[in-house]
Amino acid sequence: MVTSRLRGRVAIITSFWGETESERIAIVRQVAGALALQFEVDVLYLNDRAEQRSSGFDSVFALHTFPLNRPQSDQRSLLRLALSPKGQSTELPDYLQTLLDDQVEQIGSVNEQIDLLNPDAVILCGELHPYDLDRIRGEQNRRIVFLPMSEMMTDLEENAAQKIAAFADQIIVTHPGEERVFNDLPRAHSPRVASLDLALSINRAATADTLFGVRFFQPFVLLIRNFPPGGAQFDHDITHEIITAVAGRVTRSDLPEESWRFTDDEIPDELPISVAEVDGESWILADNVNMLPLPVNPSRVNLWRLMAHALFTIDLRPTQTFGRETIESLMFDTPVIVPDGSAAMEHARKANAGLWFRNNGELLDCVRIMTDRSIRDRFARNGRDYVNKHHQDMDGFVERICELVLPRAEDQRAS
Amino acid sequence: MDDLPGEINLDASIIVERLRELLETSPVEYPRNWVPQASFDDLLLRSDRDAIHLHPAIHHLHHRWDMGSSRTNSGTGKGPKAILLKIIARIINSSMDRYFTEEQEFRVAIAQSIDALAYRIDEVAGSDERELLDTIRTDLLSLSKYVDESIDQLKDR
Repeated sequence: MVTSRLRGRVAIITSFWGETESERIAIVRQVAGALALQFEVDVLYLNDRAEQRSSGFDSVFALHTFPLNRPQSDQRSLLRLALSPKGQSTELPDYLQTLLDDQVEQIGSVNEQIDLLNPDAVILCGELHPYDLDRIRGEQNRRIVFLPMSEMMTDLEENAAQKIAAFADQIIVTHPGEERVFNDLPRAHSPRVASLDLALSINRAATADTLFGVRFFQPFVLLIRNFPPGGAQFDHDITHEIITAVAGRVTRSDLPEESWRFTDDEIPDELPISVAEVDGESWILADNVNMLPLPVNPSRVNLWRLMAHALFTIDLRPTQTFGRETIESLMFDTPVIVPDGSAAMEHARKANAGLWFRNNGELLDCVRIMTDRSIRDRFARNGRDYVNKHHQDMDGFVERICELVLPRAEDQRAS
Repeated sequence: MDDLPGEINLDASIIVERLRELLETSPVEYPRNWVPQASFDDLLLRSDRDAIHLHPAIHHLHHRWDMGSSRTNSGTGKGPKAILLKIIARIINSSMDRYFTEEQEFRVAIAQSIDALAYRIDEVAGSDERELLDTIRTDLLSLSKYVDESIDQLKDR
């Protein structure tokens, strides 16, 4: 897989880098990691916490940090407006433009760095700033790749996004919803659109232990409120009591045999459905009567353990960039119920492996539907097919992303 | 689930679409956006009334009513003092046996009666609270239905 000789240089411009665990940062790091197998990778990190420019290394990447003072863009607009001759367009005379560039040097600095690095391709990861793309492309006719990583579909309707999309040579989308938006652009504005199909790896062996040894509560539904810990908190209108009341009971024959509960002296024909609730640091197992805090680290592997044995997963978190937990749940043959309009919903719809809701009433109706084993089984099969096709092949992912960023044909032509 | 058509070819989009259609055209005045309340079990668990049958005095009674072992125990050991005590115990037990039996039955009756009373009191207190909560739950449900109907009537005007 690893090539002995790097075949070019790629610059990534992004404000999503660093230690924080967010989907966007994880995506950029994984893309950068894949590219590093075939290219020299420079990351131009627009950091709103940095106070001065710096350059160094982060793992195998050359990291160039630029202070990103977000109010500067507003300042720039205000200055532009104030300096414009009254009643005329916002085009500025050259001397005023120079003054403005002196005032706001951030974008100019990025351009300079690009000139200095002279990469073969530039990737704009999640950046909707109206860069001077002509300048970035340069005389060398660098390839420009746009990875929007939108959290809200409305982001993509903004002018900046549309302009970058129209100018880019390649758009790489993170979920089917983004793909639809860019494919629906007017013909003149539709460059090549390809799906990122981020490959994920899961540790199936680690999930063999059913519910950390607790068997009393099976069968159960996984309810994700807040993961990873530290994320946004959402309202708690939907409680585990409500889910258990709506989900009702299942007969033993409606469960896979490995999920049967053997702790009772007499195995009942019907079992109540419990809820495993993941809420940041607090993880509990509960039914209508009992509640047991799970004394485990709120780690991804432990989340997989719950996913692997749940009847289905309910993800209450709203929009995210990629919907990673949905993909992982489908990898464990566990169908999902997710919010309408989210990246997770786009996956669930395309995979035909889950349901989505607009409000709490619809969520409860989805729960009722999902208690039907035949529906769950069908969704599980569809989900497995989808993730097998799009999200499991790590080598394929590396090869595809490298080819999308700088196709070998163009590489050879340039050389 | 029962409201859904039989053959829907299991397309998630169609399921969601049909579900929403059904909800929009449903004649049932159930407020779809309204979320049912959680069960009141937690409230009962957090109730400030302690169960009477868990009172320490009743716990003591449960463990001390039976004097059977005292009646049959005639001491241990093989020395002259132990043998003397055994003989005395046998004489007392055989002569007082009738009174000890009556005493034992009386203790049993007291323990059982107090137990029954304690459980009955807990039952009444519990059902009283539960009834109260059920009434509140029913009232809230009927209020939400009333509001829903009123909004529907306003729409019809």
